Amino acid sequence: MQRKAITMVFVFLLAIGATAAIAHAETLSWNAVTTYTDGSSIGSATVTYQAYWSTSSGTSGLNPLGSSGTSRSRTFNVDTEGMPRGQTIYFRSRATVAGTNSAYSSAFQWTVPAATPKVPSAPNNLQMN
Amino acid sequence: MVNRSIVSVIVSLLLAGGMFLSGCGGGGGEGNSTSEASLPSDPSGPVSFLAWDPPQTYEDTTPLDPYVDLDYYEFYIRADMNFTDNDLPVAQVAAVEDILSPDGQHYLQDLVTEFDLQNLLPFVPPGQSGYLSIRAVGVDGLKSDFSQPIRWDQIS
Repeated sequence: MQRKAITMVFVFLLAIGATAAIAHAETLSWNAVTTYTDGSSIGSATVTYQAYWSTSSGTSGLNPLGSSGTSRSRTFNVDTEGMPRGQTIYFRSRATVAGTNSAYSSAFQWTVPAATPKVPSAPNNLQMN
Repeated sequence: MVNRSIVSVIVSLLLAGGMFLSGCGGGGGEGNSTSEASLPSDPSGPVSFLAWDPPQTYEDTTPLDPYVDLDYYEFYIRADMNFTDNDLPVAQVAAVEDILSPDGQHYLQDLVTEFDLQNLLPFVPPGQSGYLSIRAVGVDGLKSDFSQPIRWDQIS
């Protein structure tokens, strides 16, 4: 089987709160990878993606963001992922075709929103016993 | 299960009985001298417990852990149901209490979900009826809306 390196052509977009059903969800998305590094088309081969985040701008300490899959976006919750509120983090991703991984994409820098105090819902079912 | 006898009654006697009937305009200062520890020696009529379900979410619907995210509850009394932010609480109770473990070796955290209304008797004119409402206060200090009011018929 011919194995080619994959060119990662990423355009990261952060959509804040794009998923209404998931409170405070953030979505990281990117463009499809369509070519190998030699410029030839990937064609109909399945491309899977794995996104990562890190507090480092390098490729060390990468934390997987969701699982690998063909979707070109990942929706996540800052607190669930353990991202540091108010600090800068870096996203990277890489594609895989037929078991061959691309290089990591360039890092996309993002400042994790600072935590804002939240208002509790009111107690309910008030009753006399 | 909450043991009523050990409910952490951290009653803060924030206001005198003059607060009860709204619009009294500062009368009833006589209640201010009441000691925090003093309770009616002979409560008249049935004494009720006020019970509630702690909130499980924030107003934005994100999950709330009442063990961690709540600080205390505030209790309000009015002659009508029109509770407003201008009302002052008559009492507070911690949202979480420490109870002794069954083996007596350590403490366990337990949610406070009821309050002995006897603690409020000094602030309610005998025979009066009114409405009770409570608010949850988060650890960030932000207060919930008022709970659905409940009528309290205090029998003198």
